[in-house]
Amino acid sequence: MEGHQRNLYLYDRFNARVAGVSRDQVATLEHWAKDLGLEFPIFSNPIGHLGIWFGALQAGYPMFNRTTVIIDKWGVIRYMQPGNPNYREILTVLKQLHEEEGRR
Amino acid sequence: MENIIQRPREAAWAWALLTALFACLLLAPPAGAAQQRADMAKRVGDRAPIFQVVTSERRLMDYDKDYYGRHHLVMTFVPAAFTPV
Repeated sequence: MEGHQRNLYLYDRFNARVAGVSRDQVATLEHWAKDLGLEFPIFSNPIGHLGIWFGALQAGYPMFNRTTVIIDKWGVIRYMQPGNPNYREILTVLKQLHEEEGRR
Repeated sequence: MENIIQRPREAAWAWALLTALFACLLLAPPAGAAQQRADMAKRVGDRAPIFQVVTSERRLMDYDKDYYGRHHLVMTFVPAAFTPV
């Protein structure tokens, strides 16, 4: 999350917004976001349907796996990567999307 | 006389076994649940579903209103709050 916070100005440059997703309750996430000084939201998804859709929730496992997903502004999934966020890859995809947008 | 005494005990055991079997059938996930879950998972290139969730900013986020047609969205799933990412 700190990495996303550091890259926030770059995401903004590429017309992207960032969010975390967790199965925790809103109060917990609010406290966490405040603790880290995050300027972006964390989505509370206790029932885990987002995790099922985006492949971050394994059957029989109560928590999300670390996964990063990029949805372009037209609602198409352009990137899905399990594991810790690879900021270089994320920025490359966003740069590509930004360039595609410029060509439209 | 012995048979009369033992029969209710056997019947009780049979009922207990039947009840346990029925409970197992009720609690077990339906066949193919894992497959259904896998089928629900989206892939790169698929259209993302439109969703609404509550955020840490204590507001309802509506993908359709807040992001669609306006911004690209980067979402990082985390196991739990206060876990390092």
